[in-house]
Amino acid sequence: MGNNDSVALTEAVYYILLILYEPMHGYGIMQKIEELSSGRVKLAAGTLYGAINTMLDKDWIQALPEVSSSRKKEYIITERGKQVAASELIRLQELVLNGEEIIGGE
Amino acid sequence: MSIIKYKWFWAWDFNKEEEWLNEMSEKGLQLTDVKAIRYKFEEGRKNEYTYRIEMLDEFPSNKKSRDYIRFLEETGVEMIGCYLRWIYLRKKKSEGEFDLFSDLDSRINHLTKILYLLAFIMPLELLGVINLWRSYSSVNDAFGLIVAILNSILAVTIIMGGSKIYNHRKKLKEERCLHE
Repeated sequence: MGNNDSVALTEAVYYILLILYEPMHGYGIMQKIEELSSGRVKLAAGTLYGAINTMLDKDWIQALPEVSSSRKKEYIITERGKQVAASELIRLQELVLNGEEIIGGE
Repeated sequence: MSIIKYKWFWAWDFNKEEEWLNEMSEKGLQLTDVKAIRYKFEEGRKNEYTYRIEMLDEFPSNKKSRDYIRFLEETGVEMIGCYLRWIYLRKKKSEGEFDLFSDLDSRINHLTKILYLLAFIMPLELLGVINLWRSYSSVNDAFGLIVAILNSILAVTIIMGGSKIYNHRKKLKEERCLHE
C-alpha cells in the first residue's frame, strides 16, 4: 500500500488540522488547542514545531506568504489536509460508536 | 546585582540542569547568560521565569536552528544563551506553562539526538584511551599513567551516562505502545 496517511493521527496533528481551516500562526494554534479542549491539551512549542514541519512536508498544510518579516508566520490547511482530517473524523466516529455500544455511552 | 556561578552538568543530566535553573528562579535568581560551566544570574522576582534547555540538530547559528528559535520566540519564549548545540530558554510564568515537548514522540526524539552524540564521541574516546595505555606501557611515566587513568574514568562515565539516556528512552518507547 505504501500509504501511511491512513494510520491514526496524533491528537496534536488532528487538532492542528482542524484549527488551520482558518489561517493561524504557531502561538495561535497553541492557544486555540487549549481552548478547544477546555484546557486538557497543552501543546508544547517544540512538539508543535515538529508537527508543523512534518505536515508541511506532507503537504497537509501550507505557509502563507509572509507580509513582512516582523509578522508571525501563518499556516493554512490544504485540500490534501482536509481529506486527511475528514477520514480521521470517520475513524474517530467509528471508535466512539463501538465504544458507546460496548461501554455504554449516555 | 548579578551573581556568577560555576557548575558542571553532563549532557545526560540536562533534566537536572533544568531543575537547578528553575530552583534558582524560585529563589529569585534569573539566568541571563551562560557560557559552558559559567552561569550568570540577575537578582529578580521570585519564580518569574520557567527555564528549559534543548539540544538542537544543528548549531544555533544554522538557518534551521534560527527558524526554530524564531518560532519559539513567537510563542513568548526567550533564548538567553547557547553552548555548542544546546540552547537555554525561558518564558515568563505569567504567560503560562512552558514545556518544549508535550508528547512521547518528541521526548524520544530529543533523547535520540543526545544518544547519537554520545555514540559519536564514544569510539573516539575509547580509541584515545587505548592509545594512552599503549604509550604508557612503552614509556612508563607517571604523567602518562595519570592521563590514561583519567581518560578511562571519563570513558566509563560516558558509557554510564549513555546507558542512562538509553534506558530512559526505552521506558518512553514502551509507554509509547500504549499512548501518545
